Amino acid sequence: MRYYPSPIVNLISNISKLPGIGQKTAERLALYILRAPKIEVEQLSRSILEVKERIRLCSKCFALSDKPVCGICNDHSRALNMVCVVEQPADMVAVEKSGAYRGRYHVLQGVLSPMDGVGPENIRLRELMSRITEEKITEVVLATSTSVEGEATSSYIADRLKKYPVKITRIASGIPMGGDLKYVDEVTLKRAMDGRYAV
Amino acid sequence: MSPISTPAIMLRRVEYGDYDLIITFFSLYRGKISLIAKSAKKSTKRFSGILEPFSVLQLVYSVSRRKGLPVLQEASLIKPFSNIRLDIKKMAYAGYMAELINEWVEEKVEQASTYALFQYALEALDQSDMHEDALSILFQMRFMGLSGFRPNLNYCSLCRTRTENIHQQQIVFDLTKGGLVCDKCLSAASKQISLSKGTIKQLLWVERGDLRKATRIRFSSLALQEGLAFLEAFVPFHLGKEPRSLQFLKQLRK
Repeated sequence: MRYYPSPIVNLISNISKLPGIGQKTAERLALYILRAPKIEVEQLSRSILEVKERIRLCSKCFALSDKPVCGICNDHSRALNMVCVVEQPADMVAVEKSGAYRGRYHVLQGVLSPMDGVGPENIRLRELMSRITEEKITEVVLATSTSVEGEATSSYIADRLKKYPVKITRIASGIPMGGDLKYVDEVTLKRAMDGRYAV
Repeated sequence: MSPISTPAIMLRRVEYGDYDLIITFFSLYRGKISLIAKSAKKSTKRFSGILEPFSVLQLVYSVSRRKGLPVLQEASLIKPFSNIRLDIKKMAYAGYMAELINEWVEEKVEQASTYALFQYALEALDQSDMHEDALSILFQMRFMGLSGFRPNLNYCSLCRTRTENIHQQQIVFDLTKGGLVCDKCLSAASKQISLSKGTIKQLLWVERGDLRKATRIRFSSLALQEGLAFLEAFVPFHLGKEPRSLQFLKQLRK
């Protein structure tokens, strides 16, 4: 790297710290930044700083937000009595993209995992319980992942919610659209068969 | 080298980069092994939905001549233990057993008896054949025995008086000595746990009795309570730390 001046070496080394970016890609990106118009580079650096300075967790649902309460929690056109429980902010974005749900969310910020030492006190469970009474929630949709940890978290929450007068639902799991049956695992196929419907 | 094929139980997985997983298995023929599953996070066909903790799988993996982890080539599901994933308490106990094996067992050393014990315990947990606490006692007693850390419950560790000849009903177990200590030999040392004679008898039975008949054993509530408290102090003492899954279990019991 001696053949590059030190500011470029620093830039390459910082870019290569990003996930999925190796030395060669970092070098290519650094040279692109060098050639790009100054205004474009300023916008990039400003947006990186802005993300660090302004993004926080919504005080109600714990999704990513630039305000104390996020846009979805502030949107009164959505179903106010429904809450969809997800593991991470990215899961909430995935459900939103589907357009199939119009209620509110609750981001647990993790999932119960005995071997990683993540217990009920380490995720946003207590906050979910308070929201159910405070916001008069009537339905809780459990949309944690279908991994062992996600399933166990979902059953644990369902168990804890039994004492509340709410309808508890779990997202369905089965064959993906365009999926090839012979590549689907036995557990998913069994669930798909159990959940079959009349046509 | 030609690919190796073995049944294995998945212990844990760690994400590696954007697409790969590093998975630790407890295999029947090769003991504990760590493999890299390339593109496991991305591909919907290759390992779809089966690389989950506690599943029994048939693995095919290849070992490279150069440095680096062996590569998982193929995995097919033998037993998914679907009921464990739907119950947080069962998952916590399975996680505790998996963590003990992961922490304790030496890599690449075949341990068929420990494998059989682990699979038996997961099956019993999945089918609710035994109370989770009783199953945990059975697993810990047998696992410690197989690992060479069998607690001495047969006689006083100091004067060698046999347990049936010790007069008191509550006998002290000294963790530092790894065994029982009778009243006459008892000093004011720390790390002592009290066990009733009835509990000692049941602990000895689960450790040595026929595993196929183990589901028949009925622990009294006192034996369950004493047995769990004893083993959950004895095991971390020898492991040198409290397993994270045990902390999780304790949190759950609250």
